[in-house]
Amino acid sequence: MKQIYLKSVMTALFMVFSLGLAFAQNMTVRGTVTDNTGEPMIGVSVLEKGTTNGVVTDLDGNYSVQVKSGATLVFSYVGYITVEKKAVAGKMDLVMQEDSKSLEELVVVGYGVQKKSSVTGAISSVKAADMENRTISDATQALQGKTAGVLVISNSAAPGASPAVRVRGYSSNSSSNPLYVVDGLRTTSISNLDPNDIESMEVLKDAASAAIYGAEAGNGVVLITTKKAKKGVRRIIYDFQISSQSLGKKPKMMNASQYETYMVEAGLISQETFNKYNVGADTDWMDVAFENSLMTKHNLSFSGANDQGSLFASLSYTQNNGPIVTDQDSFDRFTGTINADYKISDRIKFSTNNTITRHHQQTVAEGSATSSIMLSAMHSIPNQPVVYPANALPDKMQAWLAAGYKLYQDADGNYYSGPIYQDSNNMNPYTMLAMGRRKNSGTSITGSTALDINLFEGLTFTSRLGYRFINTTNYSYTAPYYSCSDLHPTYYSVSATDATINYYQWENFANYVTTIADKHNIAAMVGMSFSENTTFSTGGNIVGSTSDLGITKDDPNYAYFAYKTGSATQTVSGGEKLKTTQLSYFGRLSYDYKNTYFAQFSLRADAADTSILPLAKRWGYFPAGSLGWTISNEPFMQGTSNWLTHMKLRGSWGQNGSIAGLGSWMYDSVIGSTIKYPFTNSAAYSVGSMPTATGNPELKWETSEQIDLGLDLRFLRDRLGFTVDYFIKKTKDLIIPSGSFTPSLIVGNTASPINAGNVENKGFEFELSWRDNIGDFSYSISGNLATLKNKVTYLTDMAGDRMAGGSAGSGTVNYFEEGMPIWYMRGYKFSGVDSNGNPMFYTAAGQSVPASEITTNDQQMIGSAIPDFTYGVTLTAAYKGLDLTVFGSGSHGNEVFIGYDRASRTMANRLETFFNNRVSKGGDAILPSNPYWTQYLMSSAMVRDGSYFKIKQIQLGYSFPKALIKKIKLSNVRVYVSLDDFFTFTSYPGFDPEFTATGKAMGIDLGSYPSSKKIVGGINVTF
Amino acid sequence: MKLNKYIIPVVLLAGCIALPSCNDRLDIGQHGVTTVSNFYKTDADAEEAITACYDAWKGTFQPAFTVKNLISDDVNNGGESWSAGYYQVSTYTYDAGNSNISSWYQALYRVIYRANVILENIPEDASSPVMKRARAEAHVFRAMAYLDLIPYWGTPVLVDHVLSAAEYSSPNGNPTELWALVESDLTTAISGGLDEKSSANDWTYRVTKGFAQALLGKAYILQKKWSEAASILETLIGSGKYELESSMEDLMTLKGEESKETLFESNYVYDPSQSTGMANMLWVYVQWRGGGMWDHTAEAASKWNANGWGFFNPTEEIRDAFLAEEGADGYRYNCYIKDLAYVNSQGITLMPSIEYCPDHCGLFDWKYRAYTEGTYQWYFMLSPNNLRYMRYAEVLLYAAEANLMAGNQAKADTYLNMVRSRAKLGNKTATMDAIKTERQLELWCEGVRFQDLVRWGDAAKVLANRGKSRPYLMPDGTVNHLDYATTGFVSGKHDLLPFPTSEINSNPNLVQNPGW
Repeated sequence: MKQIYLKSVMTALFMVFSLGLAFAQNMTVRGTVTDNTGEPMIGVSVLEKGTTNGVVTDLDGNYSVQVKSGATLVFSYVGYITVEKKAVAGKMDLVMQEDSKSLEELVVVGYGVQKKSSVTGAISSVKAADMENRTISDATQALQGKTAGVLVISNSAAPGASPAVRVRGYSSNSSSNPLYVVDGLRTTSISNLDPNDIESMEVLKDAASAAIYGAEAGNGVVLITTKKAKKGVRRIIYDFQISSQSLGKKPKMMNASQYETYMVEAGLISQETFNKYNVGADTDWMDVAFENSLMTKHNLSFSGANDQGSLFASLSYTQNNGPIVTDQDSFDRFTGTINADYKISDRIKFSTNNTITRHHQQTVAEGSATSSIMLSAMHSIPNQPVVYPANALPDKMQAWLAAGYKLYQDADGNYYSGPIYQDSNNMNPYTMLAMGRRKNSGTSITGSTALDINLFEGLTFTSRLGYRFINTTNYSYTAPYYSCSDLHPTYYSVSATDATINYYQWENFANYVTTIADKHNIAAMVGMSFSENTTFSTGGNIVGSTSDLGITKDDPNYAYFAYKTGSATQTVSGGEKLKTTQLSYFGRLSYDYKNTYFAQFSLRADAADTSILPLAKRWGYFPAGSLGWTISNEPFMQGTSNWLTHMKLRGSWGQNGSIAGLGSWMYDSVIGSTIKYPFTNSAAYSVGSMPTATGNPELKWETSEQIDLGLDLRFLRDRLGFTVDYFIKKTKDLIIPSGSFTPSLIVGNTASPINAGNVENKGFEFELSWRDNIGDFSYSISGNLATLKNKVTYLTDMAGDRMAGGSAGSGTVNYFEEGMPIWYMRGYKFSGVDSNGNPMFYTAAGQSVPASEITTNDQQMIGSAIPDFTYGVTLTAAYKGLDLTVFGSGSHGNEVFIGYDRASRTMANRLETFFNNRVSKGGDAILPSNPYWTQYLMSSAMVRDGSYFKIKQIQLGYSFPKALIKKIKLSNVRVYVSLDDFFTFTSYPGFDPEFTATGKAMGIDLGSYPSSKKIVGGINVTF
Repeated sequence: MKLNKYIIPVVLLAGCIALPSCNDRLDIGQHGVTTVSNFYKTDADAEEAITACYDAWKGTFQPAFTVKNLISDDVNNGGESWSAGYYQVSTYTYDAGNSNISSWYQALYRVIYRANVILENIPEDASSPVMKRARAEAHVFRAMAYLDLIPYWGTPVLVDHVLSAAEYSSPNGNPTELWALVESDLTTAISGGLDEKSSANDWTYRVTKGFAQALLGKAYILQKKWSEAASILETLIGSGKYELESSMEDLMTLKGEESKETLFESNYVYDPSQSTGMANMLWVYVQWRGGGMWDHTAEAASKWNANGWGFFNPTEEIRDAFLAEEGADGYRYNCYIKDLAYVNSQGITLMPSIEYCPDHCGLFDWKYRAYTEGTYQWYFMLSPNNLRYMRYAEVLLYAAEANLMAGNQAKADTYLNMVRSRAKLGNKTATMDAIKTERQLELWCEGVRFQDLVRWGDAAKVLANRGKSRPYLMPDGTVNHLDYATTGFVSGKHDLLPFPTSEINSNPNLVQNPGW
C-alpha cells in the first residue's frame, strides 16, 4: 500500500521535471547568471512569467529558454532578490544580488516556523554543517558541544549506542529524556536517522517554546528537520568516509611486577604462588582486548526541485566494527530517505518525508560491576599470559578440564588463561567473547505525510499523518564456560525476542498570519493531535541444567529454540498487544508591533489514555507566555546601529509536563487473590481477594515550570554575536514509585506511586561567535558555555531521608535527597591513613576517626556527576580551497565514582595509581587486604574528578577548483582528513570519563564501553 | 481549482467525525488482571473480599496477644535476648520503635483497609444476602480494629474510607468521632446482614450478630455508658445462643475449639502442606521451652509438644491472686497454671546443664498448652489451635459490671456467680472489687488485664513495680530475683502505647502520645 503510494509520488515528480522541456516557443533567450562575486550560479530558476514554462541554469550558470516574444522572465534563487526582466532575444546575462531580508533565518518551532528575529524563547540550532563529515552515527551526538544547555550523556560508546540528551539539567528522578520531533513525527529516539540527512536540529529549551508539546515537553524538545530539495537546485552528492579507530583513552593498570609486589605486600597471593605460576608473562590486557578497527560511511543523495515540487532522496550505509577484538561489537545501518512535496494546486501542497532503516548490531557485556568486557580487561592479572599451550596448562586449569568444564581454545589449540591466582569471575576477555553472542536487528519505516491547504490569504490548514513501523529482534545465547568455582555453567541458555511497534499520529492544525496597518503582525495557530502506539512482542528462552546441555549438540550452530532438548527449561513471554493513545488540543497566538515588541501565548491540553492516568486526571493543561523587545529597532537606538546591529531582550514563562515517571497502570489497583482462609475445621480454603495496592486515582503528570530571561546581541554588521540566557526550571510532582516510599501504616496496603518530589535546575547559558574574513582568508570562532545548579527541593517524608539509586560493586552510591543534587554520591569521607596504614574517615561532625568508629550515619556527600559547567568551542578557517575545522567540548566539575573495584574481588588487577599511592610508598591508597577495604571502596577515595576536554574533531579539507572539476562534469569535490575524538584531556585514571552510568547510577564507572579515537579520511563529491 | 471544493470539506468532515472517536480510543483495557472497578460485582466477589478481612484479622492476633498480655501483670517474658522486643514490653522499657507495637498497629489498619474497600465498593443497597453480609461483617471488622486502637493508642487516625494519597498524612483522630464510628459500625451490623447462630450448640466461624452485640457492649463499657452496655448485653445473654462450657480443662487448647462459649475464633486447620500460612507460630512462643532447657521423657513428649520457646510465664502476682481467691487446689487455677512439682511429675524436668531458668517463677502456662497430637513441625512447632477473640465468660463479667454500675445489683450478682460457679467457687455479691478479681482470674492471659487496670484507674498502683524484680528458677526449684532497672508503669505515659516511630517520621501531622 505504502509502496504504491510512494511510486505515484515519484511518477508525479518525474512528470513535473519533464514539463519544462515539453513545449516549443517562438523566441530563444540565453545567458549566464552570476552572483555579485562573479561566480556562476547553478540552479537559478528562469521562468516565463504567468506560465509554467521555464528552465534552471546549468553548472556554468548558463541558461537557454524559448519564450513568446514580449514575455517577462523571472529569475529566482533562494536567498537572492528575484529579478523580473523583459525578455530580449539573444543574450541576457544577469548578476543577482543577495537578499538580506530573506537571509533572515527561519527557525522551526512546533507546528510552524518563525523568523529568528521574532523568537521570544530560548531555541538553539544545530545545522547540517555541524553534522556532515563527522564520525557520529547517532544524530543526538551532534548536539554535544554545539549548543549551550544541552548535555549529551552516554553510558556507552559501543557501535550503535545512542546517548541520552539532557536539556537544561536533570528534571526528574525518572528519565529526563527530551521529546524528539522529526518533521512533525513525535518520537523518543532518532537513532534510525543518518546524521547526513538532517538539515537542522532545533532545541526548544525554555518552557514557552516547548509548551506547544505540552505533556511531553517537560524535558525539552528537539525538533529535527530532514533535508529537502531547494528550489532550482538539482544535484547528486556522494560522501564517503573511512575511519580507523582505536581505544581513545587507555587506563593505566599495574603491570606484572607491580601486581606481584602489590599482592605480596597485601598478603593475598604468596611469592611462592607467583613463582609457581611464573611463565614470564607481562600481559597488557588493554592491548589484548582492544584492536584497531574500521568504520565506513557512504551517503548518496539526490535533490531537485522546481516551482511545482521537490524531491530529496538519499541512501546511506554505515558499517562500524568497534575497537574490541573480534567483530562482536559491530553495528551496521542502511538508511533510505525520500522527502518530496508537490503543489497539487495553487492552494494545496502535498508533502511527504520518509526514512527506511535497517540495522544489525552485535554487543558485548558492559556497564555492569559483575559482567563487562571492559572490566575483564581491567581486572585480568598481568602475570598471566593470554593463552597457555595445551601441553603446559597450570594445575588448576587441568583440574577444571578434568572436572568437565568448558575451557575455550584459540585457533592453534592453546587454552585461554583462566583465573588461576584467584577464585573470582574476572574472565579472560577472549573467554568472555567466546562464551556467547548478543545480536539485535531492526527495520523501521518512519515518516510523515501532509496536506497544506491554503484556504484564503494568510490561513493555511495542515492535516498531517505521522507514522512509525518498527520491527526488532533480539537474540542471544550463552554457551558452557568456566568462570570461577561459583560460576561454571555446563549448559546453554538461549533467548530471543521479536517485537513489532506500530505508531501513528494524526494532526490537524491551522496557521493564520496577517499584518494590520503595516505594524501589527499577528500569527495564530490552533490544532489537535491524536496518536496511538501499539506493540506486540513475543519472546522466550531455553535453559539447560547441569544434567542437560539445553540444546541437542554442543555447537553454537544449534543454539536456537528449534534444537532444544526435551528437558530444557523453557519460558515464553509477551504475546499480547499493548496500546497507548494520546489526544491533544493546542493553540498559539503571536503578536508583534513593528517587529519591536513581541508577545506570544500558547496553551496545550493533553489527555493520556487510561493505561497511563486515571480518567479524572487524564487532562493536563500546559500554558506558556513570552515577551520580547528588540531594543535596537527603537528610534532612540538609531545612533548605535553602525556598531550594534541587533539587541533584543527576551523573557518567557511556561509549564510543561513530563511522562517520564509514568508507567502502565501505575495508578490503578488490581485484585489479587492469594489469600486463603478456612471456614471449616478441615484443610479446605476459601479464596480471599483484595486490591494488590492502594491505587492512586490522584496520580498526575510531572510538571515543570520554567522562567527564562535572554539577551541577544549582534555587533559590527553581525560579525560578532552574543547570546545569554538565564533560566530557573522547577519540576514538581515527581512520581515516587511504589517501594521507594513507605507511607503511614494507616494506609493499610502497599501504596501505589505518588506525586511527591520537586527538583530545581538553574543556570546561565552563553553563546558567542565571531566571523570575519581577511581577503581570501575567512575564519570563525564560536563557543558556548552553560552552568548548571541542580537541587532536589522536596521529597516526601514518606520516602525517609533519601531514596537509594545506583550501586557500585560494594553498595549503593547514588541517592535522591532533599537539598542535594539529584542522585548525588553518598559514602564515607576518606581522610587518609593512620600510622598503621588503616583508613581514617570523617564523621558527620567532621572529625577524623578510625574506620572502626564510623557508622552509616557518618556517610555524607562525596560527589555529584552533574558538571558545574559544560562548554564547546568550534573554530573554522578557510583559504581558497582549504578549510579547517577544530571542534572540542568539555565538562567541568563532574565527579566519577570508580565503581568496579569490588570488596569481593580483592585480587583483581587495579589502576596503577593505587599501586603508586599505596601506603607503604607514602601515599594513602590502602591495600585490598585491609579489614576496612569495603568502607574504603564506598568512600570518597573512589571519587575522582571527571572533568575533561576532548578535541572531538580536527578536520582539514581541500576543495578542488571549480574550473578544474567542471571538466569532469562535477560541481564540487572536497577531500578531507580528520582526527576525531583524538585528544582527551583529563586527570581521570580510568577509561574515558565521558562514558559512565546514567540515570539513577549517575557518574558511576562500571566499565562502560569507552570512546575510540579515529583517524578519518573522506571525500565529498557533488555532481 | 475544483479540487479545493471537495478536499477541504472532506478533511474537515473527517476531522469532525474522528474527534469523538479519538476520545473513546483513550479507554484502554488492561490484560491479565481483574481491576478494582470490575470486581465487587457478584456474590462470589463479595465473599472473596470479606474472606480477606477474616485473614487480616487473624494477622492482628499474634502481636495483640503478645503486647496485651506482656504489658500486664499476667505473664513475664521468658525469652531473654531471643525476644528482646517482648522483654521490653513486659518491663516498660519499650520505646516507640518497638516492632511488636508497630506490627500490631499495622495489622489493625490492614483490617480497616480491607473493610473499607468492601464498604466502598459493595453498594449499601445491595440486595443479595451475601453482599449484605459482607458489608455487615466489614463493619464489624472495622469496629474490632478500633476497639483495640482506641484504648491502646487514644487518638488513632480515623480512617473510614480508602485513603487518597493526599490523606496519607492524616492527623490524630478525635475520640468522640472514633467511638461514634465504632458504635455506628456495630449498630449497622446488628441491624441486619450478619449470620445468627440457631442455638448454643450451633457453630460458625463467621462473625455473628451475637458477637457484634458483645462488641457493642464492650464499646459502651469502655466509654462508661453503663446502661446502654447493660441493655445490649442483656439482649445477647437473653438470646441463649451462648453458654459456658462445664469443663475448663481445654478452654483454650486445640481440643477446646468450636466451643459454645466462644463468640469468635480465627480459624487454623491441620495442614502440614501449607507451612506457616494455615498454622500459627504463636504457640511455639507460648509453650514452655523444650529442647535445651526442659527435658521431656518419651511419654511426656508424646503428650506435650516439647518444642516450645517459653516466652510467656505466669507471674507471682497471678499466682498470689489465685491462691488468695481459690487456694492451691482451686479448680480454675489448676486448669490454667501448673507448678513445678506437677510438670516434674509428668516427666518434664529442667535439664541438668541449665544454670537457671530466666523470668520464671516455677509456674507453667497450662491454659494454652500445646498437645503433641495435632501439632506439626515446620522448621518450628506449629499448632492449628484457633485464636479465640472473646469468650462468653467475658461477656457475663462485662454484663455484671455494667449492671452493677447501672444500679442493677441482682443482675450483676447473677452474672458474676454464673462465672464463679463454673469455676467451682461459691457465690459472691457483685462489688467492683469482686468483679475485678474475677476478671483477673477468669480472663488470665486473655489480653484484657492491662486495659481493665487502665480503665479502672488501678494501673499506676498495681503495675508500679512491674519488671523491677525478675524471678528466675533454680534447678533445685527455688526462685530467686534479679533487680532490673526500670521505672515500672509511669502514669501519664504508659497508659497509652506510643505511635510507632515510623509513623511519626512519615506523617508530620501525627502527634505522639504524651511522654513518648
